[in-house]
Amino acid sequence: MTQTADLRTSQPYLSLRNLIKTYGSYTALRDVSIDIKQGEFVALLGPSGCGKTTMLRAIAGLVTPNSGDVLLAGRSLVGVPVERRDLGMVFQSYALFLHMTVAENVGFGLQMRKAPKTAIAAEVDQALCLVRMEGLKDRYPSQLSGGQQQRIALARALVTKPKVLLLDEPLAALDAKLREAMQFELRQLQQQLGITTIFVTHDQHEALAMADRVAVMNSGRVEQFDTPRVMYDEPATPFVAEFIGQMNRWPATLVDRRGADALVRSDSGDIVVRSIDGKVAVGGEVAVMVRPEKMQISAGSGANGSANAVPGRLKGVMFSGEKTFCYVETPLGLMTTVMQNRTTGADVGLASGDEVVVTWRAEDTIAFPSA
Amino acid sequence: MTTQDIQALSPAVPTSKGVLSRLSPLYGLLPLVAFLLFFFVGPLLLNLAESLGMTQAGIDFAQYRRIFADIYYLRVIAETIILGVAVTVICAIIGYPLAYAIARSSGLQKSLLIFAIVIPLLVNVVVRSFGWMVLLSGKGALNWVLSSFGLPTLSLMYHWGGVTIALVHVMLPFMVLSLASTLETLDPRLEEAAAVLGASRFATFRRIVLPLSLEGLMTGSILVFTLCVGSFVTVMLLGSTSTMVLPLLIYQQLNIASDWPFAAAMGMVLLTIVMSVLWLQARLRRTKWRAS
Ligand SMILES: Nc1ncnc2c1ncn2[C@@H]1O[C@H](COP(=O)(O)OP(=O)(O)OP(=O)(O)O)[C@@H](O)[C@H]1O
Ligand SMILES: [Mg+2]
Repeated sequence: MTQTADLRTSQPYLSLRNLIKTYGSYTALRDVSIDIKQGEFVALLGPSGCGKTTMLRAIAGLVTPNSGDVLLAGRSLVGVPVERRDLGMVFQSYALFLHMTVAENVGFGLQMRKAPKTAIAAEVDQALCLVRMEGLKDRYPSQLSGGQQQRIALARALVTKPKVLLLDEPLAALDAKLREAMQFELRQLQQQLGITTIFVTHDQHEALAMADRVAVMNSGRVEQFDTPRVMYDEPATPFVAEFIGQMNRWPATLVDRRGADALVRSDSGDIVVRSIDGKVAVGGEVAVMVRPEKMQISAGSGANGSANAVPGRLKGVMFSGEKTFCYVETPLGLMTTVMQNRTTGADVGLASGDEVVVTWRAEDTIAFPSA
Repeated sequence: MTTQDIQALSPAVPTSKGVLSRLSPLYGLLPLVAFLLFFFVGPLLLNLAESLGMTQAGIDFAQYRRIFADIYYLRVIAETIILGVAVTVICAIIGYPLAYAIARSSGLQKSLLIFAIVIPLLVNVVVRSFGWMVLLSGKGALNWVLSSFGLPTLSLMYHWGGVTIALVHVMLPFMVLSLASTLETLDPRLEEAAAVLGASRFATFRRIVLPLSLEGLMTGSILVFTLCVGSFVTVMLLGSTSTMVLPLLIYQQLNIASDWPFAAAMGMVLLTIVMSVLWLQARLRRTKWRAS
């Protein structure tokens, strides 16, 4: 596996250094700096309008940053024209050439590289095979469905074996089944070819499942760039914590620090917190966060030996296939808990209106200074 | 333009409704049809009859034989067509960058550009041609500038050069506006996608922009060519006997020689040239990639 070796090399392959891009008075990229390793699959996640597309366009050279640098294999791309960067891109709107057939669209990049006709035909066939579109070579884009168009755009970007693949929501138009299949295949393909890839998506599950590392963006800034697991368990900012997955959140005041732990006071007694910003002084306001699946729910009012417990009244139970959600009214507000349905016919054994207690561990509790 | 209108009006799928209700949108066209019959088709038929000498007994092709047997008239026909093609090609070459700039600009900049393109149309064609006379004549502004730099003067006036320059000036707005209207519908992402795939500026133009704006180029070319081979004032003012074109010849036959049948026959030749260009456009217009 050469790819794993590549991933371990410390030298970044693609680096963004202090990129700033403004449109008039609006700042689309605020000092973006990330290093991506060769062969790495990076997912770019963030709310609409946060600058994801702008970042891809800056890498491709379609947007000129006000300042900052883009380095590919140690060499600056600033001043290198778009057509000489040797990148692949799938546009959010596909941007297929309407007057060319599927085969002509996919072969365009190879034609521009002056590849011989027979080689182009073979490569095009192979690329269409990869995206499962072999049969539609002679169709025009207007004769394809949205999902099919998207796959042609992907094949067109892949076929030139680019140095970096920039994908702007390439699977957004696919139905759930095909999308899952394509996620898997795209990842396989990417690993097989070892193409460094940046993948923009709105779907956090897609991002967490596919990527080696995830970059979460918010209003032009990269808030955190880390592996999916770290991103989920140790969010660096309240924005990341709440953007990825679900969070129960309530306000509290820091009352004491004991080594790694901290004690915060809330409307429902004291809570032990493991991870807290060192800058918060005693008496400072914090926001406490706990993920729903880290919380237990049981009848009665005992703490069951857990570090943290809060009493409440069960408001509702929602069965959703592999999981069951419970909504509990507590002095701290509405808490959501999630349970995996491990056995068939499993029931929480609780009914709406029951007195319950919600418990969780100190190490699953995060606190951020209140803004 | 006309072919599009006709296509839009013809019902593509016959409905189960009666013929009358299907035709109802066409009722609005009746006044126009009546007008055309009376003022266009009628005179045209009269003109055809005149050219064939049908006032006397039987059909007589003598006038047409006169045209096609005389090398002078054949040359005038050829030069009329060449002038039309040349002006069209020059307009297309100059017009493309202008139209592209209009299509890609917005707001005030766009309004100003369109205004600059259209404003010459507000000045009478006689005045504009006269303006070119002032610029191009032997002692005109152009030669004054050239000679003050010690350069040899040009004799553009009364030659094809001057006629072509003035005609390009008159026709350019038609080309630019029809090109701009199709270029506007072109998604800029397509050019970006081509560039990312390694296409140079020129390759992007040749492979993406040009094919996708062919429709506007065609409309503009037809417009310019048709107006050009029929143009009269500009050629008369800036040309001479050595720059003879069909419309001028027709004018001479009518006003000076008073040879009405001959003028009518030449009119029919001119009409045939224009019609065959329109026919050619209709044949080329079939685009298979558009969604039906
Ligand atoms: N050409 C432009 N002129 C002015 N503002 C722009 C331009 N392009 C983008 N913007 C602004 O920059 C911000 C970032 O845009 P961008 O397209 O990068 O968002 P995004 O993260 O890709 O959003 P989405 O998820 O909706 O695609 C947006 O607020 C947008 O309005
Ligand atoms: Mg976007």
